Amino acid sequence: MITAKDLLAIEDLILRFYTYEGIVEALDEVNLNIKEGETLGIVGETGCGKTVTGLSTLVLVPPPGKIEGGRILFDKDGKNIDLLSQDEAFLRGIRGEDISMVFQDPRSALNPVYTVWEQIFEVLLHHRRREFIEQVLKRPLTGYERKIYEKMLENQGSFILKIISKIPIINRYKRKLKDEINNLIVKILKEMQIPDPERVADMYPHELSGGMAQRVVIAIALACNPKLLIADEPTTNLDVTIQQQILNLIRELRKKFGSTIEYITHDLGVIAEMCDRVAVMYAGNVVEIADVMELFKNPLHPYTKALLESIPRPGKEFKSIEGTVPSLINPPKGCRFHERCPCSMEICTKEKPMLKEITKEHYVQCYLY
Amino acid sequence: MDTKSRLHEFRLRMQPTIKEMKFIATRIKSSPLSIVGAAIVTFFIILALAASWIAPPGHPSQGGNPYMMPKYGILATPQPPGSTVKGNYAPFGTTAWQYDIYYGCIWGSRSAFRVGILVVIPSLLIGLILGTLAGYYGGYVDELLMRFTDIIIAFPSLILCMAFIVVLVPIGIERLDAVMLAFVLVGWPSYARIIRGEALRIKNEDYIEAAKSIGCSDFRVILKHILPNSIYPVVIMASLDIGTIVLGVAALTFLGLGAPEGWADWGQLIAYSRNFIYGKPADPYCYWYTFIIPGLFISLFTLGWNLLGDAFRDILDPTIRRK
Repeated sequence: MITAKDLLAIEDLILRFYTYEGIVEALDEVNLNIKEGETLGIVGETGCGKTVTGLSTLVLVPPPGKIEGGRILFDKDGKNIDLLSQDEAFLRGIRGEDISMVFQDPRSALNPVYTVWEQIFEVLLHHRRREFIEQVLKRPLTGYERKIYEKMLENQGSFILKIISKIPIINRYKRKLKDEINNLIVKILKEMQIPDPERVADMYPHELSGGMAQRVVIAIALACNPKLLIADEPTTNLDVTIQQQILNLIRELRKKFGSTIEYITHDLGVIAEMCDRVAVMYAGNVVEIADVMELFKNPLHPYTKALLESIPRPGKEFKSIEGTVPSLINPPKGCRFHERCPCSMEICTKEKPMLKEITKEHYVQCYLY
Repeated sequence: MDTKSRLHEFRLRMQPTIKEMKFIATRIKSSPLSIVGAAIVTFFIILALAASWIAPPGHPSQGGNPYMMPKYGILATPQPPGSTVKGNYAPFGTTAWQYDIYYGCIWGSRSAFRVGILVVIPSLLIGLILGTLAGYYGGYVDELLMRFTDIIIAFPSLILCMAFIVVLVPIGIERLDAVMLAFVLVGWPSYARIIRGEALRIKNEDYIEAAKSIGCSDFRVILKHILPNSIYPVVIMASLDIGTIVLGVAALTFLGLGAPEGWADWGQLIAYSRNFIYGKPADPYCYWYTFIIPGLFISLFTLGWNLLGDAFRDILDPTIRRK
């Protein structure tokens, strides 16, 4: 179902965790596509595979997980590349540069021993080294410095340069590079609406408040202007007022940079506020994909309906979904939702339904339609 | 650029570093014990550096090696502090067989540093490399390395040291080198253990995943993200160990396995006073100087490093420093 406009298309992705208790079928033929410039929300209960979908987009599945099938097609400079068939070196170039991720807990996503400045510096230098060296070369330099920078441009992994860069006094040439990057770091922090960016840049992560830390995490993720940003519940661990600020920030940044966002959350309210399209996940399956207005107005899958009804509202009786999320070690045969489904049929227990397009751009994985 | 503006630029650049140094200084000042520790260690450093001025070598009995203690005769009973033996003044007295205690104590600090540093740094390096590899990669690498450390840790360390020395000396390694090598071989597993535990904990932290998600390689993740976070406990342990290893070497020397005969070493001096701990029946502690003075040097040295170990933690760990 890949179209010309798709930035990312996940096709029939199968992910399994080989644990002591058995094989966890975490993702079972997941199909997703994200169009350029849109915000796709992924919503579902805890443990339904939202976060691992995000991580597999970066091909960073934590062990003992293994991707066992499917394709992840990413549009890099007009070419569709299957990320799963690329080698590690190529993927390292993609991560942070083309696709980056914002993590759930901002405090634990920052390395406690480095200052904010050093952490942004790392990602910038990793991906933009060449550009910075070229810019430094345009500035007035002493002959010795010019020689070294020209050599850096020629051969980045040179062994001699690595040794020189570790010797004090001789490695002073690095300052020019640091100066060059410093301006950019302050600019990035300013864009994240961080007050007094020069001071914050020299702070360690534990000195930051939760909201500030999340802004820094977003700054690191956006430092290289990635085409796709995966936001894994970026506001879950923050209090409500800060949540609103972060959501506003993400929305503004999206307008400014035109980034495509894969927004992972369990909060339907945030989905309604942030996203253009929504994918509903249940037990490792994408059960429904639709436009956000369409989904709230006209939910098709019984799980989506139940999910929307379980939002607590004043004056209305709270309704929860019957039963519990099935264990993914021995998932139910056929449709994984059939045990809890009010309109379960015989075929639901036997065969897995396919994702079908019911109305335009509204896909659902159910035998009812 | 003229000198003045260059100086100004230099000051501007050094500002954060100076700020950091000032912070460390106030941190040390606020805990008096770490000042005491630093003072003791500095005292020993000065002693070791100035040894050839404070206690000049050159007695014919040393045979040209300043690390050998001068021997003023063959008399079996120790002489009290301040006495003159065969025209040689001995401020701290002499041991049995007339080794100069003063000279031994001063030059003993030099050999203590030599032993402590030459043992701790190699074992720290081996422990760091193997520990992080085991912790980060896990699986067979981990299993292999950790079972090997189990074997070494299963033996009492001093006994294992003796076994290594007994094996190493006959194959042509100098006595003192054999002692240091034995301590390295016995010492690294405990560092590797701690580092492995820390690496196991840290590799599951979110910021490691975040580092990978911006495109860091395994090597970079280990070097830049895992090591700086896991190194504090072992740096503290290493600074404590410099003291402990000197104790261990003293114990081995006391047993006759450590430094060669006549080597300036605190343990050696105490070994010579073995028969004089209980003196004459009428005056049992008349030879106190033979073991109290070198004993004082050993315990002060160990105490200094122990106190400094705590100070290191305050200085190095950014998560507890700015509170």
